[in-house]
Amino acid sequence: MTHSRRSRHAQAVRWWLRSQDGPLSAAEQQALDRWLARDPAHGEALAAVEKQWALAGELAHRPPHQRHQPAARRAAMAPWLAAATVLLAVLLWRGPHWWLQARADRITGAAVETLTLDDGSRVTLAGHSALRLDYDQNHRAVTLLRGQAVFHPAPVNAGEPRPFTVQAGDARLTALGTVFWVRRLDAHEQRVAVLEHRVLARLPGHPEQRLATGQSARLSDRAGIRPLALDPTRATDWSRGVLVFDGEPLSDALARINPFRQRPLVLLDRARAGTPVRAVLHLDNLDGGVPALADSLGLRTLEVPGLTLLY
Amino acid sequence: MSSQSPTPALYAEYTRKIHRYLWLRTGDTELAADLTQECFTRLLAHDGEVPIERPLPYLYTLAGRLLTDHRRRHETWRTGTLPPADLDGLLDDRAGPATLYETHRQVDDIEAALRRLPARSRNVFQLCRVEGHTYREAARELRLSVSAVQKHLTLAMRYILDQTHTDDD
Repeated sequence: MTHSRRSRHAQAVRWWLRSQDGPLSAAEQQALDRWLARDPAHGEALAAVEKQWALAGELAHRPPHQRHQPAARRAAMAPWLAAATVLLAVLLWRGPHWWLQARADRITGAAVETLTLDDGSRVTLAGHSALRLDYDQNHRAVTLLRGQAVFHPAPVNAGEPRPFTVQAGDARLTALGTVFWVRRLDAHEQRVAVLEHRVLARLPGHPEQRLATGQSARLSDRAGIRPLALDPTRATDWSRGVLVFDGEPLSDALARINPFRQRPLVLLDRARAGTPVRAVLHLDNLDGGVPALADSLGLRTLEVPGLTLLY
Repeated sequence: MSSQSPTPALYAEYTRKIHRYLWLRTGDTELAADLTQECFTRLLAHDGEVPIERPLPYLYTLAGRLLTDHRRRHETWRTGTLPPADLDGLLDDRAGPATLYETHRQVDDIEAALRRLPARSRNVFQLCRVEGHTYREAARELRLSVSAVQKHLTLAMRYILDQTHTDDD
């Protein structure tokens, strides 16, 4: 225990005590900001004080006799968590940004972006998606690290003999002169839909399949390559700037909207997850469209750091 | 199973607390918002095998771990010492038993520290925090001056910080 840590704590406790006693004056706020700016350790100390104070509040909710028996807690699932687990489909796992930065050549924010590659191929990347380019002498390979994209590969011809292949998790999708869409759900599950011509879909341990225009497939480690009742035009509506919902459950609709938002929408009321949604949202006006959609469903929105709550 | 939903107000309070915690530790509003979002994503993705009855301690634990991870990985990908394949594996570390243990331990530690405090300081802390009284109410209850209440609170809080492992160690 160093002297400086103690004195930091003493100062942090003073600021905390002061802030407990009502809002700070402008002068006090400035003094606090200056104190925080002087040394990163100051913010750490105040964070520690506020955390311990918040956690001490938990003691009121804690039956003392259960304290050292975590096994006794294996009762019914806490109601709020039960509600939350249903929301799993609503909140998209996005993976940490800094990790993707180390690997991706292109990462999108909430907006759709179209890239033109050296060979003239075009890729339209959805929001919160990441792509890596691995072109070499023999292959035009790209890896979809996250999210979804529509690929318009430049065709194979005399001048361009290299095949164009998208790797997504374990799946490899080779263009046979085509426009196609790929969505990576995670390392073990992907979706593909063919808009023009054909795609050769391959998955280790399963027979390969050729998919033709209008066909979609689900690729998963366990089930292999299975046909999917998904209209390719519908799956790629975002690449034309809109999201079209034709009676699908609210939870599915939110999963489609969230990649295009800075703050994912979280539905708090699980009973509403199945509500059918009929709407057209424009990606360039999601901030206006989402509250209107919520309103039409009798729901309200609340902005909190990092999330938008729907209730 | 009850179908009671978490209230928006409760969610909002949790996110504000976690965001402020991360902001104080990083000075970066955007990073704090990103990590807050990730805390909630992980919380919701938790499979519920071990129910989390009180999310706040769990969220603080997650926030601390994600920040540590962030700092380490940020350093790692800059220096390029870890192959990408290893990073893939790290991504999926969901709340394991270690996180849950840490969650319980944090509150246990505070309780243990409180027990070792002089009775008067402990009572002041108890009234103000656990039972949610204002300084003035606590002062009246214990027949102390308001400034004495504040002194006891300061003492109690400094003792808790002293006796528990905090992130600024």
